Amino acid sequence: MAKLVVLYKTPKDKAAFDAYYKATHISLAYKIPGLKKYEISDGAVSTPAGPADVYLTAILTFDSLAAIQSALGSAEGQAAAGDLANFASGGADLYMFDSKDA
Amino acid sequence: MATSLTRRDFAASAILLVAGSYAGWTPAQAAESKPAAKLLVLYKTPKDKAAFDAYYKATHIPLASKIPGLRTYEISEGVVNTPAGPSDIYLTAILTFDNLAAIQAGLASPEGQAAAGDLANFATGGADLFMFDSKDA
Repeated sequence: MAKLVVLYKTPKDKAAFDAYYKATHISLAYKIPGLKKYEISDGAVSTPAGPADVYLTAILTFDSLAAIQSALGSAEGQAAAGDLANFASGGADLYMFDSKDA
Repeated sequence: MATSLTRRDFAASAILLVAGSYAGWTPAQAAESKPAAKLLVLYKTPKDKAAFDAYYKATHIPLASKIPGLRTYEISEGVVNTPAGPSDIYLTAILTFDNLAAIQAGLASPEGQAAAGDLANFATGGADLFMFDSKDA
Protein backbone atom coordinates (compact mmCIF):
# COMPACT_ATOMS: atom_id res chain seq x y z
CA MET A 1 0.00 0.00 0.00
CA ALA A 2 0.96 3.63 -0.32
CA LYS A 3 -0.45 6.82 1.15
CA LEU A 4 -0.88 10.38 0.02
CA VAL A 5 -1.22 12.51 3.16
CA VAL A 6 -2.52 16.05 2.80
CA LEU A 7 -2.26 18.46 5.73
CA TYR A 8 -4.35 21.58 5.19
CA LYS A 9 -3.27 24.52 7.31
CA THR A 10 -5.98 26.63 8.92
CA PRO A 11 -7.72 28.52 6.06
CA LYS A 12 -8.66 32.20 6.14
CA ASP A 13 -12.39 31.36 6.03
CA LYS A 14 -13.24 28.01 7.63
CA ALA A 15 -16.89 27.95 6.55
CA ALA A 16 -15.97 28.65 2.92
CA PHE A 17 -13.27 25.98 3.06
CA ASP A 18 -15.69 23.41 4.49
CA ALA A 19 -18.39 24.14 1.93
CA TYR A 20 -16.01 24.03 -1.04
CA TYR A 21 -14.20 20.93 0.15
CA LYS A 22 -17.41 19.01 0.60
CA ALA A 23 -19.23 20.18 -2.52
CA THR A 24 -16.36 20.28 -4.99
CA HIS A 25 -13.00 18.92 -3.90
CA ILE A 26 -14.10 15.52 -2.57
CA SER A 27 -15.87 14.68 -5.83
CA LEU A 28 -12.83 15.77 -7.87
CA ALA A 29 -10.42 13.77 -5.69
CA TYR A 30 -12.60 10.64 -5.85
CA LYS A 31 -12.05 10.57 -9.62
CA ILE A 32 -8.28 10.10 -9.26
CA PRO A 33 -7.45 6.76 -10.93
CA GLY A 34 -6.18 4.00 -8.61
CA LEU A 35 -7.61 5.56 -5.42
CA LYS A 36 -8.47 2.75 -2.97
CA LYS A 37 -9.54 4.68 0.09
CA TYR A 38 -10.04 8.35 0.99
CA GLU A 39 -10.27 9.32 4.64
CA ILE A 40 -10.48 12.80 6.14
CA SER A 41 -10.28 14.11 9.68
CA ASP A 42 -13.55 14.73 11.50
CA GLY A 43 -13.37 17.63 13.94
CA ALA A 44 -10.31 19.30 15.42
CA VAL A 45 -6.78 18.11 14.64
CA SER A 46 -4.79 18.08 17.90
CA THR A 47 -1.18 17.76 18.95
CA PRO A 48 -0.14 16.44 22.39
CA ALA A 49 0.27 20.11 23.40
CA GLY A 50 -3.16 21.28 22.15
CA PRO A 51 -4.81 22.39 18.89
CA ALA A 52 -2.70 22.02 15.73
CA ASP A 53 -2.12 24.55 12.93
CA VAL A 54 -3.53 21.83 10.68
CA TYR A 55 -7.25 22.30 9.98
CA LEU A 56 -7.99 19.16 7.96
CA THR A 57 -6.11 16.01 7.07
CA ALA A 58 -6.78 13.71 4.12
CA ILE A 59 -5.23 10.27 3.77
CA LEU A 60 -5.61 8.72 0.32
CA THR A 61 -4.59 5.09 -0.10
CA PHE A 62 -3.28 3.58 -3.35
CA ASP A 63 -1.56 0.32 -4.27
CA SER A 64 1.94 1.79 -4.49
CA LEU A 65 3.93 5.02 -4.66
CA ALA A 66 4.19 4.53 -8.42
CA ALA A 67 0.37 4.40 -8.58
CA ILE A 68 0.16 7.71 -6.68
CA GLN A 69 2.68 9.35 -8.97
CA SER A 70 0.95 8.20 -12.14
CA ALA A 71 -2.45 9.13 -10.67
CA LEU A 72 -1.28 12.66 -9.91
CA GLY A 73 0.02 12.88 -13.47
CA SER A 74 -3.38 11.92 -14.91
CA ALA A 75 -5.95 14.47 -16.06
CA GLU A 76 -8.11 13.71 -12.99
CA GLY A 77 -5.10 14.02 -10.66
CA GLN A 78 -4.11 17.32 -12.23
CA ALA A 79 -7.66 18.60 -11.83
CA ALA A 80 -7.75 17.65 -8.13
CA ALA A 81 -4.27 19.06 -7.43
CA GLY A 82 -5.05 22.22 -9.39
CA ASP A 83 -8.23 22.65 -7.37
CA LEU A 84 -6.23 23.22 -4.14
CA ALA A 85 -5.59 26.82 -5.19
CA ASN A 86 -9.36 27.38 -5.16
CA PHE A 87 -9.87 26.73 -1.44
CA ALA A 88 -6.65 25.86 0.48
CA SER A 89 -6.11 29.47 1.51
CA GLY A 90 -3.89 28.47 4.47
CA GLY A 91 -1.69 26.27 2.28
CA ALA A 92 -1.33 22.49 2.28
CA ASP A 93 1.53 20.03 2.70
CA LEU A 94 1.44 16.84 0.62
CA TYR A 95 3.46 13.74 1.47
CA MET A 96 3.47 10.46 -0.42
CA PHE A 97 5.13 7.19 0.48
CA ASP A 98 4.92 3.44 0.33
CA SER A 99 3.65 2.03 3.62
CA LYS A 100 3.70 -1.26 5.48
CA ASP A 101 2.69 -2.66 8.85
CA ALA A 102 5.27 -1.72 11.52
CA MET B 1 -30.72 -34.45 -22.04
CA ALA B 2 -33.62 -32.29 -20.98
CA THR B 3 -33.01 -33.25 -17.36
CA SER B 4 -29.32 -32.36 -17.48
CA LEU B 5 -30.05 -29.02 -19.12
CA THR B 6 -32.62 -28.28 -16.46
CA ARG B 7 -30.18 -29.19 -13.74
CA ARG B 8 -27.51 -26.99 -15.26
CA ASP B 9 -29.97 -24.13 -15.60
CA PHE B 10 -30.94 -24.59 -11.99
CA ALA B 11 -27.29 -24.56 -10.90
CA ALA B 12 -26.62 -21.44 -12.96
CA SER B 13 -29.59 -19.58 -11.57
CA ALA B 14 -28.64 -20.61 -8.02
CA ILE B 15 -25.17 -19.14 -8.58
CA LEU B 16 -26.68 -15.94 -9.99
CA LEU B 17 -29.04 -15.75 -7.04
CA VAL B 18 -26.18 -16.09 -4.56
CA ALA B 19 -24.04 -13.61 -6.48
CA GLY B 20 -26.97 -11.21 -6.64
CA SER B 21 -27.66 -11.34 -2.93
CA TYR B 22 -23.96 -10.82 -2.13
CA ALA B 23 -23.72 -7.95 -4.63
CA GLY B 24 -26.38 -6.19 -2.56
CA TRP B 25 -24.15 -5.67 0.45
CA THR B 26 -20.59 -6.97 0.10
CA PRO B 27 -19.03 -4.09 -1.90
CA ALA B 28 -20.63 -1.46 0.34
CA GLN B 29 -19.39 -3.24 3.47
CA ALA B 30 -15.89 -3.57 2.01
CA ALA B 31 -15.69 0.08 0.96
CA GLU B 32 -16.98 1.57 4.21
CA SER B 33 -14.52 1.81 7.10
CA LYS B 34 -15.29 1.38 10.76
CA PRO B 35 -15.18 4.68 12.66
CA ALA B 36 -11.59 5.34 13.60
CA ALA B 37 -9.08 7.91 14.74
CA LYS B 38 -5.48 8.37 13.67
CA LEU B 39 -2.28 9.38 15.39
CA LEU B 40 0.03 10.64 12.64
CA VAL B 41 3.72 11.00 13.45
CA LEU B 42 6.04 12.80 11.04
CA TYR B 43 9.70 12.27 11.89
CA LYS B 44 12.01 14.90 10.45
CA THR B 45 15.31 13.73 8.99
CA PRO B 46 17.51 12.57 11.93
CA LYS B 47 21.18 13.36 12.40
CA ASP B 48 22.16 9.69 11.96
CA LYS B 49 19.77 7.75 9.74
CA ALA B 50 21.29 4.32 10.39
CA ALA B 51 21.11 4.81 14.16
CA PHE B 52 17.50 6.02 13.85
CA ASP B 53 16.52 3.01 11.74
CA ALA B 54 18.14 0.51 14.10
CA TYR B 55 16.64 2.05 17.24
CA TYR B 56 13.18 2.51 15.73
CA LYS B 57 12.99 -1.12 14.65
CA ALA B 58 14.54 -2.75 17.72
CA THR B 59 13.12 -0.55 20.46
CA HIS B 60 10.45 1.93 19.45
CA ILE B 61 8.15 -0.36 17.46
CA PRO B 62 7.89 -2.87 20.33
CA LEU B 63 7.17 -0.01 22.79
CA ALA B 64 4.55 1.67 20.58
CA SER B 65 2.89 -1.66 19.77
CA LYS B 66 2.05 -1.97 23.49
CA ILE B 67 -0.10 1.19 23.58
CA PRO B 68 -3.58 0.10 24.73
CA GLY B 69 -6.31 0.45 22.12
CA LEU B 70 -3.92 0.43 19.16
CA ARG B 71 -5.64 -1.21 16.16
CA THR B 72 -3.18 -0.84 13.32
CA TYR B 73 0.33 0.63 13.09
CA GLU B 74 1.68 1.49 9.66
CA ILE B 75 4.97 3.14 8.79
CA SER B 76 6.40 4.53 5.59
CA GLU B 77 8.77 2.39 3.59
CA GLY B 78 11.48 4.22 1.67
CA VAL B 79 11.56 7.87 0.79
CA VAL B 80 8.76 10.26 1.80
CA ASN B 81 8.14 12.53 -1.19
CA THR B 82 6.31 15.76 -1.89
CA PRO B 83 5.02 16.61 -5.38
CA ALA B 84 8.17 18.75 -5.76
CA GLY B 85 10.64 16.01 -4.69
CA PRO B 86 12.02 14.53 -1.45
CA SER B 87 10.55 15.96 1.76
CA ASP B 88 12.16 16.89 5.07
CA ILE B 89 10.20 13.97 6.58
CA TYR B 90 12.28 10.83 7.04
CA LEU B 91 9.62 8.46 8.39
CA THR B 92 5.87 8.55 8.91
CA ALA B 93 3.84 6.43 11.32
CA ILE B 94 0.04 6.15 11.23
CA LEU B 95 -1.47 4.55 14.32
CA THR B 96 -5.18 3.76 14.20
CA PHE B 97 -7.47 3.65 17.25
CA ASP B 98 -11.25 3.49 17.70
CA ASN B 99 -11.63 7.22 18.38
CA LEU B 100 -9.80 10.32 19.55
CA ALA B 101 -10.64 9.60 23.20
CA ALA B 102 -8.97 6.18 22.82
CA ILE B 103 -5.82 7.86 21.47
CA GLN B 104 -5.76 10.28 24.39
CA ALA B 105 -6.28 7.47 26.90
CA GLY B 106 -3.66 5.36 25.10
CA LEU B 107 -1.08 8.15 25.28
CA ALA B 108 -1.85 8.80 28.95
CA SER B 109 -1.35 5.14 29.91
CA PRO B 110 2.05 3.94 31.22
CA GLU B 111 2.69 2.22 27.86
CA GLY B 112 1.77 5.42 25.98
CA GLN B 113 4.00 7.50 28.23
CA ALA B 114 6.87 5.06 27.69
CA ALA B 115 6.44 5.21 23.89
CA ALA B 116 6.11 9.02 23.83
CA GLY B 117 9.04 9.44 26.22
CA ASP B 118 11.13 7.19 23.99
CA LEU B 119 11.04 9.77 21.13
CA ALA B 120 13.79 11.75 22.84
CA ASN B 121 16.05 8.71 22.52
CA PHE B 122 16.11 8.60 18.71
CA ALA B 123 14.05 11.37 17.05
CA THR B 124 17.05 13.68 16.69
CA GLY B 125 15.45 15.66 13.85
CA GLY B 126 12.26 16.21 15.84
CA ALA B 127 8.77 14.84 15.21
CA ASP B 128 5.32 16.32 14.67
CA LEU B 129 2.33 14.46 16.14
CA PHE B 130 -1.22 15.00 14.95
CA MET B 131 -4.30 13.18 16.24
CA PHE B 132 -7.85 13.31 14.95
CA ASP B 133 -11.05 11.38 14.45
CA SER B 134 -11.36 10.25 10.85
CA LYS B 135 -14.08 9.16 8.47
CA ASP B 136 -14.51 8.24 4.83
CA ALA B 137 -14.57 11.37 2.67
